[in-house]
Formats: sequence, C-alpha cells, structure tokens
Amino acid sequence: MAATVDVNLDDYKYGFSVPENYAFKAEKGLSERIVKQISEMKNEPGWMTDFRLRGYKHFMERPMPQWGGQGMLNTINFDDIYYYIKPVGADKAFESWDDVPEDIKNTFDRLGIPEAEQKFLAGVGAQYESEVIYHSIIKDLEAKGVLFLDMDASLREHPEIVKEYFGTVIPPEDNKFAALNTSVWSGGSFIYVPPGVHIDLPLQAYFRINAQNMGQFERTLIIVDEGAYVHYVEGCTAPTYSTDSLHSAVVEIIVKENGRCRYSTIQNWSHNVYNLVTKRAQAYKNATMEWVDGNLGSKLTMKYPAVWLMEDGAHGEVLSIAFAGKGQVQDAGGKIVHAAPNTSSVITSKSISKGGGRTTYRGLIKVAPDATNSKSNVLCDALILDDESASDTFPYIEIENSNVSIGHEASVSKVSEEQLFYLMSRGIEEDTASNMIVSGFIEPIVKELPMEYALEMNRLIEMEMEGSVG
Amino acid sequence: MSVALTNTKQKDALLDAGVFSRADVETLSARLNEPDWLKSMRQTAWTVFEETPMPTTSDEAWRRTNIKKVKWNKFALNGSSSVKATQALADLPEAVQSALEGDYPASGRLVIANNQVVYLEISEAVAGEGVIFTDLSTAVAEHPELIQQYLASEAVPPSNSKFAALSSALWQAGVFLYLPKGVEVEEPFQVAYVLDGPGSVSLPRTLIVGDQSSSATIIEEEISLSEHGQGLNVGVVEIYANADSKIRYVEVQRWGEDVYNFNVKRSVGQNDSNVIWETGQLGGRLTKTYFDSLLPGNGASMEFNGVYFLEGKQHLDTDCLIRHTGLYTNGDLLLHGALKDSSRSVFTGLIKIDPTGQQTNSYLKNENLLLDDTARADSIPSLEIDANDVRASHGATIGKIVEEYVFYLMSRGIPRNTAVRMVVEGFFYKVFDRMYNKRVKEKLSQAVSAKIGD
Repeated sequence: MAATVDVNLDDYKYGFSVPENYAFKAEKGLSERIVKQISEMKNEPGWMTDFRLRGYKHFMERPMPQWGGQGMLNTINFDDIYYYIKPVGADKAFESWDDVPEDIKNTFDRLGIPEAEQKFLAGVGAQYESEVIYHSIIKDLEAKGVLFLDMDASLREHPEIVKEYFGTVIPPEDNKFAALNTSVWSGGSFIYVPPGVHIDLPLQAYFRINAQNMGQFERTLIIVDEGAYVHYVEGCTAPTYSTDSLHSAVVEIIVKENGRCRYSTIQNWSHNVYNLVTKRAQAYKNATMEWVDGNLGSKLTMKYPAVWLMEDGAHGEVLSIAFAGKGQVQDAGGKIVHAAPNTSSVITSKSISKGGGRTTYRGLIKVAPDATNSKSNVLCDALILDDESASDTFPYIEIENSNVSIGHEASVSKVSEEQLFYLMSRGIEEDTASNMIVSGFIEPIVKELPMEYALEMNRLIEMEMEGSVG
Repeated sequence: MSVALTNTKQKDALLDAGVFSRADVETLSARLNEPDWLKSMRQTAWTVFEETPMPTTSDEAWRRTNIKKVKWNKFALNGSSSVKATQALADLPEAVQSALEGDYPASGRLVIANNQVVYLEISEAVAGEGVIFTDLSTAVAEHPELIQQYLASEAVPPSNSKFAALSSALWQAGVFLYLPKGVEVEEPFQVAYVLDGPGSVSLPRTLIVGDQSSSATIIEEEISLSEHGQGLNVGVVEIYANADSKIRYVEVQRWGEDVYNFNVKRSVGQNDSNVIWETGQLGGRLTKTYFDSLLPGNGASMEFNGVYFLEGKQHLDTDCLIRHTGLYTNGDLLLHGALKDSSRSVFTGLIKIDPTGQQTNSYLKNENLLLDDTARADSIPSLEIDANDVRASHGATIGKIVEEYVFYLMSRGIPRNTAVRMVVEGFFYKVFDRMYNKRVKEKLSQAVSAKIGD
C-alpha cells in the first residue's frame, strides 16, 4: 500500500485565466426578470421566451434531488452565480482564425485548438463563455447540407427546425437542472445531418468557463437524419478559481432510421466546478446511439447519458469512465430505456478512485412491456487505489417483459498484487507498473476515442496517477 | 436558494386504522404479567412506532412496493384460532404436522398459532447440555438477564423502522433459542408460525443467541390454515452469533395468498462466526422482508442461499444488506427467483464495506426467470465501498427460459409442461446445491416443487 498523492489544484493543467473582458454581464442570481432579459438580449422569438419561463418556474418549484451528491448539491448558492455573460466580439461568429481577439486566442492556444484544426478535424466550434465566438465548417460539409452552428445562431437562422425538436427529448420539467438550463441556456452546438450523409471526421467543440462564479448552461441539439452518421466530440476544461462554478448543460439527440450518432466527451473541469448535466438521445428504427463519456475533472459530477430505444432494432451504448481524486465525487453512469421490440444495449463503466475520491456508477436498464426480445448487458468495474477512497455501484434494473435477456455484473477491487508482482519481476518500477495496470484497466474505453483524445486521456490519467502505488 | 423539506404531520394509515393502540400494549403487558423493564421497553417502542412515519413510495427502500392500498382496518389483533394447545404432535392440523416433519428427529419443536403457543417440545439430551429453546414469554420469566441483554438491542432496535417498532411494542409470542458456549446441536429446531382465520394478525419475534463456539440449525415455516383469509404478519428475527459460533437460519415462507407480510431479519456476527440464511419465499400477497447481515467481528462470515417462486398477483420485495465492518470478513449471497402470471419481484442487495473492513471478500447475485410476459422483476444490486483492499462483486440477470433446453428435453419425448418444469427446477438447483444441510435442501426443494405444480 502506498503513499497517496494530493491532486494539487495549482498544478491543474489548464488552470489559468485571462483577464475578463465582457460586452454584457447579467447581475448575479436568477429571477424572472433576468430570464426575460437574457431572451431579450438574444432577440429571441416569443415561444422561446415562454419556454425559458416554463423552465424557470419548474426550477423554482422542484426540490433538490435527495440522492447522489446531495451533500455537495445543498451547498450550491444559486444566488451567487452569473447566469449570462456575453464576451466582447461575440456579436458575430468569426469566419477565420485571424479575426479572433488575441487574449481569447491565447486561451485557445493553450488548449491546442489550432493544432487540432491543422490536423484536419472537420470543424471547430469553440465556446468561450456563453457565446460561440469561433466557428468554422469545412466547405464540403456545407455543400452536403450539414448544419453545424451554435445554438443561438441556429435559432435565428433555422427557427423552424429548432422549434420542432427543442425540448422534445428533454422537457423543461425533466429534472431540476434541466429546468435551470432551459431557463438560462446560452450557446452550445446545433447539428443537423441530412439523410444519407456520412461525416467521416469528428466534429468538435471546446467549452470553457472563464469568469468567476460563472454558470455555463449550454444547450446542444443534434439531429441525425435517416441513414446519416456523425461523431461529435465535446471536451471541457475550465480554469481554476477559488469559488465554485456551476455547469449545467442539456444535450438532446435524435437519431432517425438507420442513422448513427456517437457523442464523445472528456470532462476535465477544474476541481471546483459542479457538473450537473442531462444528456439523452432517442434512437429510432435500426438506429445506433453511442455515448462515450469520460469524467476526470469537476468537484461533483452527476451525469447519466441516456438512450431511449424508440423503435424496432435500435441499439444504444454507453461507455463511461470516471476518475475521482481528492475531494472529487464522480456520480456517473448511463440509462437505457427499451421502449420497442428487438432493441439492444450495452453499458460499460470503468472507474478509478484515489486520494479520498469517490466514484459512483448509477445506472438504469428499463424494459417496457412491449419491448420483447430486448437484450442488455451492463458491466461495471471499479478500482480503488488507496484506503481513503471509495466506490459505489447502484444499477437499477426494471424489467416488465419476459422475452428479454438482461445481465449485470460489477466488481470492485484494488490493483491486483499478482499483476503488479508480474510486472515488477520483469524489472518495471512499482509506479510504472501500477500505471500500466490502470491504463490497461481503462483501455476498452480509451480505444473508442479519437486518437488526439485517447492521447490526452492517457496523459491526464498518468498525471493523476503520479506517485501512487495501488 | 435553499429548498426546505416539507415536514407536515403525515397521515398514518396503520395508526389511524385503530388495529393497534397503546392500550393494547398495556393490556398485553398486564396479561403476560411482564416485568417493569419489559413494560417500559414496549411503551418506548410504541412511542417510536407512533413517531415514525409510514413508509411510502417516496422512500427509496419502498419505491417499488406500494402499501398505500392495504386496508389495515380489515385486520384484528387477537383473532381466535382453531388450533388448540396440545401435548401431542398428532393432535395438530396436518399442514402443521407436515411443516414440523414429525418423522424426522428434531432437537425441539414449537408451534405458534395466531400468537398463542400451542405446542412445545425439546429433546432431553439437548436441554441437558444447557440449551434453552422455549417461547419468548416463558424465557422473559425464566431467563430475564439474557432477554434483557439481547432483545431488540444491537440487531433490531425499535429505531430500525416502523414495523420493527411495532414488533417491539406488541410482539405476542416468539421463539428464544440460546446455545451455551461450545455446544453444537446436530438436529434442527423446528418452528411453525400459523395464521388462522380472516383478518388474523401475527406478530412473531425470534431471538437466537449462539454463545462462543456453539452451532445449531433452526427452521421456521410460516403457514396459513385458511387459504383465503386476509392476514397480516409483522415479524422480527434477531440472530446474535458470538465468537466462532455457527447459526443456520432457515425460513420456508408459505403464507396464504392474502397475507401481507413485513419482516426485519438481522444477524450480528462476532469474530470468526458464521451465519447462514436459507430461504424459500413462496407465499403471501405482498411481502417486504429485510435480511441484513452485520459483520462487525474480524473474520466473520455470512452466506445466503435463497429462492422465490411467485404467481398470480404476488408481490415480493427482498432487501438484503451485507455490512462488512470487521477485518477479513466474507459474504456470499445467491438468490434465484422465478415469476409467473403478473407477479412481481423486487430485489435490492447492498454490499457495504466500511473503512475498517479491509480484506473483505464479498459476492452477491440475483437471477430471475420470467415465465410469463406479464411478470415483472426489478433487481438492484448495489455496492458501497469505503475500503480499498477488498474484493466485491455482484451480478443480476433477468431473462426468460432458455428454449434450447426445453427443446432438448422435448426431443427426448418429454411433454413441454414437464420440460419447462424441469428447466425451472434446474435453475433453482443452482441454489439448492449450495445447501449443506441435506434436510433443509430437501425441505426447500420440495416446497418449491409443490408450488410450481404442473
């Protein structure tokens, strides 16, 4: 057993901040007036204002969840948060990299975005504060009729599509934080992939929180039309601040017949961010939805990407990986609802806790009475690296149909002495050996990530692992 | 912004039904001529019962078991039973005799019908070794120091829950088994709890204390004599397994189809003790039973081998906790269930490992076989782990019968019905095969086969 290593917030890789420079900053706290003000600032149509108010009303009425990280949830002071900040230059999205202001560019430089672009990634939508300020879409995508723009712009430019789908997968009343997001959402991505269009390179967007006490409430809507395919990659980093920040996003995805969507996230908020996100997809006939969800950062994450299998033959997958260090709670998992016959799903979860961190797998497999011939398999493994850390598994399995095959397995253990001994007998240092075992443990998920992300993921895990021996 | 929890005084359907009252507690104490400590214990428990809100579907543990529609006023305390007290086993109704397995040797037998002791025997050889096996009220009079030390103490105090508080306040008859240091009893103790007549209420309480290095098996069978009478059972079992002792507790639950059944069964295992639960849950309209194993002692272990078979509109909610607090403790739980018609099962199993519970090895598995489209099974196996040098794993499966197996048997000329039955029995045998005690294995497998029928 070994010494534990503090995760030092000062060393946080992306823990820098640039001086704030805003065009508009709403006052702290939330009220009906602020909700209306946000909507007015954005020149939104009346139905959206009403939608926001509906969310606001429910947010105020809905009690705080009494499960998961409720101890931490209860400490959030909702009156001490800026719900809308608009940075200078956000009035229009930038067409080319040269137009982006220097200080914002510096931030992106440190995140590696230009390199990413140089690697011919399909499109870069980077969110700085609450507005998407830089957006580029490769020409041939435009030619294929793919829409990839920020949510606010899509509301201006394609109001009919937005109105048709917005809030249909996750209604404002879904949960307290979805309601909060509905009332103050700003930014996020909107993607529409027309029938039969296959986007080969992943679409990416970075989100960043930069202002102290700044809530980040982006809203993403992805529609994959019949037979189309898209891989969307979301990465999050936030600078370190001493007061707590709140991130509460809503992601809605609709995958139509024979379509396929993969949504990958590496969440690496600094260790003072509350990350309370609602993600849900609907998969129609023979469609496939895959969530790849990595949670490394934040103080508290509560996030359970969901797939509703709506029609015959739909398939859903959730790959979840969580790493909780000192003071962190990663309450993650996945939900699959089998609402139609011949649907199948897989949830694979790997979690690691260390230095007093707590990982929790919380999941649901639900099979509706009509969903005959459904298959589902859930596999959860957890590693606990020292005696201060903890791990929980709460899988809910609700089956209302006999013609099914459902399995769940979970195990929790420490780094195996045998594996460690084997590697050390080959002359490998204990630290390195331990690292190798952890890398092997998460391998099934990391290999599903695009290469740049897989590298970053491995680097981050290595950093977190430094000096620790199981 | 803070969200205040509304704490308005809730309606208490059970209390308001007037089936039980504080006056009943006083009458009971007076009738049984109880000592002051027990009187005040019952009074305190009644207060806890009054103050504890009725569980609702907003409570996580009761989310899937709704008792809102139970008509509590249909039940009456002290309903009379047709079973009269007797000295001879042969005088008891056939169903009771069969539960007690008169053809086999036993270390002791006890029958309680509607809270009245109607039959009691103990083998002289066993009594000669200092083993106490008697009804709980007699034990209060004869061994007050032991009862005072253990009853409703660490395992199931009134504060455990609404129904545990009711049991502490109003238990009427029960079993006390005490095994002195070093005494190993070979033949089982057999207990039958009987519900008789519509609206009957049973409040059984079992207290088992195994002193150092003792061992014994106790089999409790629960039966209804009038099949269609509505009944209520609120039971508590406490098992105190002291150092190096080994207690096997067997339950054959065959309540009638209109019985509402609420139980808290809990063991406390000291150093190197071993508690084995073996259960067949077959009867009852609606059941919520907790089987909790606390392992505070170093090297303590528990094993659970359980089956259930449900049909009609039966609802069974089994809640198992294995709590590892001591060093190098072991847990191993296997529960298989099959569901017919529109029956429903809920299984919640939690392996909880405290920070002190290093070198724990724990396993928990629930498998369900759905035999009809309308049956429903929820399975929630959970882990809460606060120590790192442990191995803990769990599994749950829900599925239908494997058609290949049925096809294979049919290809050998076996009719479909029989083939299905054989496959279901085979599914249960994975549990029966773990039962070390041959008689227990036979008793439970026969009870299950009888329930499966054709």
